[in-house]
Amino acid sequence: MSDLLNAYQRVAGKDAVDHLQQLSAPLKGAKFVHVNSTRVGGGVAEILMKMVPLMNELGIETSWEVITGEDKFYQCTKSMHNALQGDPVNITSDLLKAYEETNAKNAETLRPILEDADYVIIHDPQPAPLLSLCPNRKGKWVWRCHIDASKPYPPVWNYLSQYVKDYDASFFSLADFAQQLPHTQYLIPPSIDPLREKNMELSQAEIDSTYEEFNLDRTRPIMLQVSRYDRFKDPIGVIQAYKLVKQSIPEIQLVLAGGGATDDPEGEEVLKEVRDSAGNDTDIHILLLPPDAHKTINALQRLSDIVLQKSLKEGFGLTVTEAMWKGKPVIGGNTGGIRLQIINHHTGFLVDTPEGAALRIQELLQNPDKMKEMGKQAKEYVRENFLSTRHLREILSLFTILDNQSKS
Amino acid sequence: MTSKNENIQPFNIKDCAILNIATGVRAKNLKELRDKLLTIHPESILYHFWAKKLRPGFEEPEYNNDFATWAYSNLHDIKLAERLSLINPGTFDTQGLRVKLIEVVELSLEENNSNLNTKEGEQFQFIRSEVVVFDTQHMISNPEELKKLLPNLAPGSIYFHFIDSKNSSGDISSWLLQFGDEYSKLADQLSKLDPYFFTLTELERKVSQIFKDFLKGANQ
Repeated sequence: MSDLLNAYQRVAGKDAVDHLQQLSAPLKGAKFVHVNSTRVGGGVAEILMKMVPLMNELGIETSWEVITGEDKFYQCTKSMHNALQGDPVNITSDLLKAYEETNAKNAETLRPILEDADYVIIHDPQPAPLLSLCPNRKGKWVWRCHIDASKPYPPVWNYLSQYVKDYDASFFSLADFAQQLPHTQYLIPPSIDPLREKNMELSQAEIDSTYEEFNLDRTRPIMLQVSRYDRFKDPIGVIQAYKLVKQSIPEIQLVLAGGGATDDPEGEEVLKEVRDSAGNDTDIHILLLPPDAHKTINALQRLSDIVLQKSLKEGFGLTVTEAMWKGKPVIGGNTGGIRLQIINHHTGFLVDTPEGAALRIQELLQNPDKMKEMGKQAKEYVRENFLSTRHLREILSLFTILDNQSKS
Repeated sequence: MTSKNENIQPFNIKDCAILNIATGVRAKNLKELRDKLLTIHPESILYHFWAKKLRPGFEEPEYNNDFATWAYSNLHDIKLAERLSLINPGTFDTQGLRVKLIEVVELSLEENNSNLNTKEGEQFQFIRSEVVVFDTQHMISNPEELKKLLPNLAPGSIYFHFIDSKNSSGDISSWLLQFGDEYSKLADQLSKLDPYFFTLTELERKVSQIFKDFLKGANQ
C-alpha cells in the first residue's frame, strides 16, 4: 500500500481504506473529471485539493478543471448562489448572457477532456451548462450542489434547472436541499481531509507563534469564527454575541478570520460592515487571510476555546467539522448542514440568535469540563462521519450504482 | 472439527454502507405525514426504521425510528413519539408496517395533539437508500472462528448480516446448519434475535453471547 493510503488508514481506519480500494478496483484506469470555478478559497476547492490526489492514488485517472470568467460572470454566479439560498435576486439578462458565454468559452477548451471522460462531477451552478455544451459526451455526468438550496428563489432555480435536469444524477448535502428533478438525487455530505495542512496535528511552537503573530493574549479566552466575509455567515451577529458575552466575561477576545474566494465579489463590502461594527474594540481581531493560510487557520482553531459558525444559511460549513476535528465544541447557526454536524448539546450547540450564541459561550466558558467532553465527542463524531474517506466512498458508490443501472 | 466439516465452504464476512437518496417527498405536519405514508415507496418506510443504525448520530437514540424522533423533536409530541417508537418493524410485513404507522398517526390526529406546522428545515423528509456491499476478506471456517471474530467486526458487517433484510441472518444460520443438527439450536437462537431495539454495538454483544453460551455448552 502506498504511503498516502497508509496515512489515511492511520487516521480513518483500515476498513475505510479497504472500502475505497474495493470500490475503485473496477474503475482503475477510468478517466474522472471534477469541474468547479475556483482553485483556491471556499469549501469546494478545499475538498478537491485532497480528494483528487487520493482518487489518483487509488488508480482512477482524475483531473480537476476550473472554469474562469470575467467580473460579470462572477457577479452572475454570486447572485445565483444567493438566490439558491433564498434571496429574491433578479439576475439581469446581461449577467445571464455573461454566464452563458463564459460557459461556452470554457467549453471550447474543456470539451475534449470532458467528452472523453468516463465520469464527470460538475460542482455548483457556475459550470452547470457544460453538460449541454458537450454533445458527444460518453461518460456519466453528475451535478453536485454544495449550496443550501432548501428554498431557492424560483425564477433563478427555474433558469438553472434547465441545465441541471439532463444530468445522470445529482447530489446534495441534505435532503432539505434536494429539488424536483427528473433524475435520482443522492445525499452526500461533504468532508474534511485529515491530512491537509489545515487539519493535521501542529506543534505547540507553531500554535504559540500564532498567538504572537496576531497579538492574542493566551491567558484570556478566545472565541473564533473562520469564514469568508459573507452576510450569510453572519459575522455581525458574531460581534453582537461577543459584545453580550463581554458584559459578563470582560476578558473575552474575538477572532474573525476570513479570506476571499476568487468567485466572491461581495467580500470587501461585507468586510467594511464588519470593521464598522467592531469599532475600536482592540479585543476584536479581524483577520484577512490569504487563501493559502491553511496552517494559520489550523493554529487559530486549536488555540481558540470556542469556535462559532453562526451562519444564517449554510450548505454544510466545513469550518464546523474542522474545529470539531480539533476537539473544539462548536456553536453553530441552526441551519442547513450545520444541523447535521452539531448534535445539539452533544458536540456543540445550535443557536438562532446572537443572544443564543452568547448564552452558550458563557455556559461553556464557565464549565471547562463540559467544554472538554463536548470537544472529545465532536472529534470522534467527525472521525466516524465526516472525513474525506467516507465522502469519497459515497461518491464512488454513486458512480458504481449508475454503472450497474446502465448494465441492467 | 471433524473431517466432515472440511467440505463446508468457508463463510465470507461482508461489510456494507448505505447511500442515501432523496425521494423529494416531505411532510410539514402530521396530516401531511399521514397522506404521504399512504403512497410512499415501501423502501422508504423501511429506511426510516432501520437505516438510523448506520447513519451519523449517537449510538443511544431516544427513540427507535425516524418517525418517532420527528414527532418528538419537531412536533414536540411525546405521546405520539412513544407510540411510534413502539412499532417494531420486525413484526410486520411491509404493507402491515405502513398500515400500523398510519393507524398510530391517525389516532394522534383524532386526539388533535399534533396539528402544528413545522418550521422551515424541520419537515419530515422521506429518504430511501441503496446498500453498497464490501468484501472484508474474512473467510470463517467454523463457528468457533466466527465467535472470536464477532467483537472485531465493523458496524456495517453487523448491520449486513443481522439486519439488512429479514433473510440476512439466514445466511449465517444456513451455514451453521451444515455443521450438524446440533447447530440448529444456535441458528434458531440467532433467528429469534430481534435487532430492532438494539444499537449495533448491543446487537454484536448479544450475538457474541449467544455464540459463547452455545459453544461453551457444545464443548462440555
